[in-house]
Amino acid sequence: MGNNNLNDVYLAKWLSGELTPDQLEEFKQHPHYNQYVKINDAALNMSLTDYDVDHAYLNLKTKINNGKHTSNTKVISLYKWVGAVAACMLICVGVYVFSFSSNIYESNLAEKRNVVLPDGSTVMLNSKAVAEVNTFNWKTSRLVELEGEAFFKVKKGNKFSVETAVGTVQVLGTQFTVNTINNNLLVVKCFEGKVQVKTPIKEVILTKGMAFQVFENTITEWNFEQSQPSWIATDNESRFNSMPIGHVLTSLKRQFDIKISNAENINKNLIFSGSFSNKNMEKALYTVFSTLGVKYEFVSDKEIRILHPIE
Amino acid sequence: MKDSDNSSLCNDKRYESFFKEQAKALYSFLLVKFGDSDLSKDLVQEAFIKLWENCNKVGGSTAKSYLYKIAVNLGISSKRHDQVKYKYQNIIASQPAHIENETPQFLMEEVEFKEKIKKAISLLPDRQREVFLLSRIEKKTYKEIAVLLDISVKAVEKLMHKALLKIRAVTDGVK
Repeated sequence: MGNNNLNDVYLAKWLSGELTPDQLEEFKQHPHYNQYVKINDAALNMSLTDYDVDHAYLNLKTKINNGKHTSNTKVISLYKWVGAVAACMLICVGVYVFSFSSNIYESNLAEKRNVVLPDGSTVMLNSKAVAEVNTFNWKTSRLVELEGEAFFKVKKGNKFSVETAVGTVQVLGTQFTVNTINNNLLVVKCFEGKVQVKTPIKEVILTKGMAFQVFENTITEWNFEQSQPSWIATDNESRFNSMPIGHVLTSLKRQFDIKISNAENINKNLIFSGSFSNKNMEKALYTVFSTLGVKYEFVSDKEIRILHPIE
Repeated sequence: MKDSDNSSLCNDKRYESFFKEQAKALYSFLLVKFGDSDLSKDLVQEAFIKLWENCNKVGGSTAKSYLYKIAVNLGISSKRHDQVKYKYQNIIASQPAHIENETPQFLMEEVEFKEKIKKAISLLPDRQREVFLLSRIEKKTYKEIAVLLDISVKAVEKLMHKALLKIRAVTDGVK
């Protein structure tokens, strides 16, 4: 090496300006000299993060005056407090959200969905139904809000209520279906045990094999012999008893995910009794419309058009 | 050692001016040593509280070394110290160089270069880093550093030399 004049600490000496002129000359020939200059310039331009002396003194004074300076005092910086407060709030919010939460279950068009409730009761949703289950206070009041059709198997226990737009159905432990259509028709069928139905116009108690329907202040009651709803038992039939045509159309739409246009061509007072296939759309449409004398045509796979009676 | 009235740190005014004289330097020293800004602030406070409690025993001449000793010992025993990963990139703030007449590209390279140096500094062994930061950033002489770290001036020079060698090697980049 040519570093005759340069000892093992020449960089330190250079930084402190203690190199002799000879040594400095030689160091300038060093291949890395420029890099060292650059590094030193940059480093001299840096500073440590700031420290506010006056502020720190105030803090210190407060601490001393408060007498909180026992030997084991832990200094807890502000961000820890903020963190702790934030954590507490998070927990509170969490508890709040959890305790007032309700679960919403929804079945799509042409889909059935089975929901198990917290107490082991089950709800089978027929297509296009929404059940909102209030999990808060489930133990003391079992409450389900329903839109659409569902089959309930209720475990014995406290009062179990199903609320619909038309009325409330209350039971203790039983099996029944509740069906609402267009928010103005309610059908309740009891398959086991006892069911109480409360509507603004009438309160009834249904026992096994009894069905009850309310539609615009008209009440229909009948008996049936199935042990399970047809849409569960065979999965291929929807059954109706004196059902206004508008509601049958809604059921068809739910079941097959189809559009029905020019529906105003159908006489709204038509009543349909019978069943249609849940599997075969063409068959189902034919079953419903031919018995009622309604003519229709396919516009596409998923849309039909109702023809005017005279056409 | 005995406290004469006007040198005693038990006197409020005297204590305050001593704090304002020493706090910042102590903070910087701790920051360099422990690499944690919050910890350093806490340590400064703790050390000065101890000093206040013992203002009768600690005279004006010994107060400074007493402070440093307490702060460093507390820092070393602090659990947080073990967990501190030296984040020198965060504790070093760099002022913009002279901005006039520089092209954006030059300025950008300048910033990148500084980042590289900060990184290189954070990779240094503890002692080398302490010496380098105290000398270049805190602008302390080797003699002052030697006193602070309780080592010889020669040792400080050696550490400094090694630190610069290493920083250059690291910042040389690709090669």
